Amino acid sequence: MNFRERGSGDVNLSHPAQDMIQWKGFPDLLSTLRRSADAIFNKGGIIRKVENLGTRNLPYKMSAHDAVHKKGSYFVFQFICPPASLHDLEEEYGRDVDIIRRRIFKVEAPEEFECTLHEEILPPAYRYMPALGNDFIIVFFRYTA
Amino acid sequence: MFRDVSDVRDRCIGRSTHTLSHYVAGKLRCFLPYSKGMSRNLATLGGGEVWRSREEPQSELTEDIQKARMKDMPVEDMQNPFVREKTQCIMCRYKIVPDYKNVKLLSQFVSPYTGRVYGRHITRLCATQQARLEKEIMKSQSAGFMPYYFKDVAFVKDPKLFDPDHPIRPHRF
Repeated sequence: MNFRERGSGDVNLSHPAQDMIQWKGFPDLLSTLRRSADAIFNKGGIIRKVENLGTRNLPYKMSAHDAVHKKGSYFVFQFICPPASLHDLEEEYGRDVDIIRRRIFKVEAPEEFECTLHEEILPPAYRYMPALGNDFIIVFFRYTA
Repeated sequence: MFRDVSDVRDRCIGRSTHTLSHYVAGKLRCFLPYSKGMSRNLATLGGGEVWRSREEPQSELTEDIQKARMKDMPVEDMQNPFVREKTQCIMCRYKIVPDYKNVKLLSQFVSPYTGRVYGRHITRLCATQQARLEKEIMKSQSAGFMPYYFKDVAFVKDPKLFDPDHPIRPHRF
């Protein structure tokens, strides 16, 4: 099958690849995978690859469809599909009892940038000095979490 | 290249024509070795004058000497050879891209007691990398790869990239 790469100019499939992760309960693993794949194909999508990330204990208890889950199988589908059908896909996976959690992420090449650590570790007086050629003010400090 | 300062007598102190200075001025000749961007250093203090005998040596020799003197001048188009290597954060140095599926890497920047992400003053990452890391950790936790409130037990004994127990500024975790 001829895969259409992103940025080809094709209106339908110009959206870049997506990662979809699903966690499933044990029974009928194959049929669940089959259903998920069919959903993508029906929406006019192409699956690039399927990765199996194993079956293990979940990092925390999850409740889905009136059941608490402690173990699950992880699968990653990398696919390309028209952006308009993403909402429908999410809704369809939400209805599937065997899928505990689904997330769709956009696959993007990481942006190139230069490390600015040598500027950030300067003493405060030297951090922003246009005379030395620094044109920016660094916010050194931000509380996280 | 150099000009003969012929009004040497005018430069000499005093008006009398039979002093030592007059004799010296008569015998010697002053010239200023010029180069286009003559730098101000000790050699050029006092106007950069060089006093030479009026009896000129062979012209070829003078030219060679002049060229050699020009070579001694400071080089202007050279880059600073003492520039220090710029320190890079650990992720930029090894060109690591954090991924939400790579829980082991992400867990290295997380507290084993509370599961919270350490700040930039502890992890010593540049701003962009820290922002990326935090975003990936949030993604990973939401997608169910990484726990929220603790560090995954399998990764607790991983090598430490930094010392979180002696921070420059106290932290809550």
